[in-house]
Amino acid sequence: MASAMDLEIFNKCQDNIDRDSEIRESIRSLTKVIDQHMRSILSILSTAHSTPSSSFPTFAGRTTTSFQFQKEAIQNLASLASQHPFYKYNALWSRTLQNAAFAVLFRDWLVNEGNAYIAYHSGSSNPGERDGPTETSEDDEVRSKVGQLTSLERVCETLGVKPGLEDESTFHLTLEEYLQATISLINELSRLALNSVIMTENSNYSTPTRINHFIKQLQAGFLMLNLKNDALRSRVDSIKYDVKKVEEVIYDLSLRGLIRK
Amino acid sequence: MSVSVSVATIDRETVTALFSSFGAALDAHHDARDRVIKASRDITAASKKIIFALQRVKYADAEIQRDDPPKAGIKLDSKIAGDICGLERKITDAFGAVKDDLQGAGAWRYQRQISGAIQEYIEALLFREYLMERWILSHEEVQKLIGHEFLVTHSDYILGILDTTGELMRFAITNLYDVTASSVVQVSAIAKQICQLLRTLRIGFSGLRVNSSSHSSSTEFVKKLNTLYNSVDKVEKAVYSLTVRGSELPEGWIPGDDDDNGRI
Repeated sequence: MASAMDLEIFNKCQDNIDRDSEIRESIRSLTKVIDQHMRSILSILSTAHSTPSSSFPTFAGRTTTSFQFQKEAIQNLASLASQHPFYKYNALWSRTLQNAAFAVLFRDWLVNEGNAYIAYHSGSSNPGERDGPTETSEDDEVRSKVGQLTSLERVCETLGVKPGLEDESTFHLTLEEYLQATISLINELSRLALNSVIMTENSNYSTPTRINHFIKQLQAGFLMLNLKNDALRSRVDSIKYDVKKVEEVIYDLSLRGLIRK
Repeated sequence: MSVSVSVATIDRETVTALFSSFGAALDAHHDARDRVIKASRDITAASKKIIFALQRVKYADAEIQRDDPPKAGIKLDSKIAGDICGLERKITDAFGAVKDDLQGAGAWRYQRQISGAIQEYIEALLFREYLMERWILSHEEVQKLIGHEFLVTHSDYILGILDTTGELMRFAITNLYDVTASSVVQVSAIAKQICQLLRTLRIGFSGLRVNSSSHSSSTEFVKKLNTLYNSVDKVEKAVYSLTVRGSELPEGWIPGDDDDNGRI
């Protein structure tokens, strides 16, 4: 009886499976390198939990080399990934890129917070050093205007990837990854709010106040999104616990008259 | 979507502007995803109906009706052929509705959403082609039938074939008796052919090296491979029973008269 099928089917399948797992393997090994650089960046940045806010800009500056290495490692991944349809293997590096984006957001936030803290501290004597155009010199201004979220484009620039919002097929940081990174920042800051109280110098309790303001604004932003029942949704739901955590710190401080309400 | 500010100082207006642009992008993505899921459901449902229609074919009658007898395969009667034609039109329409969503980057972005439908449709295509032409379509042939504007992955193709084996098993069991043989009870040609084909598939698939940790479709593969083993078993047992017991049955015995007729 003549065969009812082309037996080459099985060989072709095997070739395909082998090629696919080879690509997956190479992508995984490249993401490992990025992860390593990301971890060394984060270990430097987590010094924030045990130093006063005034030193944030100094140690954040120490991450520059690691960021450079990380950028190169991402470059390698990008050139491999660009040979394949973007979303085919996106899941393999999505987490890595998310964490790398978080590192950028956290560093930029720390630099900014450090400067704001210093400005707030020396605010009354020397308002010229204050960050930003606000010269009205009222405490509220300092509280509400500082706290910066690095934009998607800027994060991409630091990581060395294209924003790719126009062209989804090139290697890029996706909006979901950026939003996930933003939520990681909120998580991290809720912890920092507590620790910054411990590390406070000269009764300058302004950091938790700014964190409180910052994450509440972001929370309001996330509430504007129509979310599906997906990974992003569950993380957005977790923001409220971070907000609560920081609110408790603010409550404790204001109860004791350590910050002005 | 454009987000103009490079470092956003977080105040109410910036947050509102920023997140409404994010919201618009997310909504567009979710809408596309929902459309694909809906099309996927329609395609799956229509494909299942095609398969049911094919299972209702009375093999013996269909084969006899065939115009060119030397060639293997069956000819569908006009009622079933018409039903299938209508269902295929539904499938084409459903594919057409999400053509744009599945273009470019979307092909892989929504692959997981459409994948089930593609597999089900492949199953219908393969099953029909086998019954009519006694031929298992290759990946390229399937891709051509579905259309090159849609992505048919190799893993969808493999899983589609594995699904088809279940249908072939069912068809072989329902058409086990050779009703054309007047005097002796014997196994039909189609049951023997399917039995042979299933064995070939079993050998081919069990030889594939699949890295089980590589992706989710490999767990599905292993599961469906086990189903294939069971199907081969069932057909082999049925053919065996009929061969053995058929020889003992009295001459002129007609299948269906008796409960003890070797069916499984």
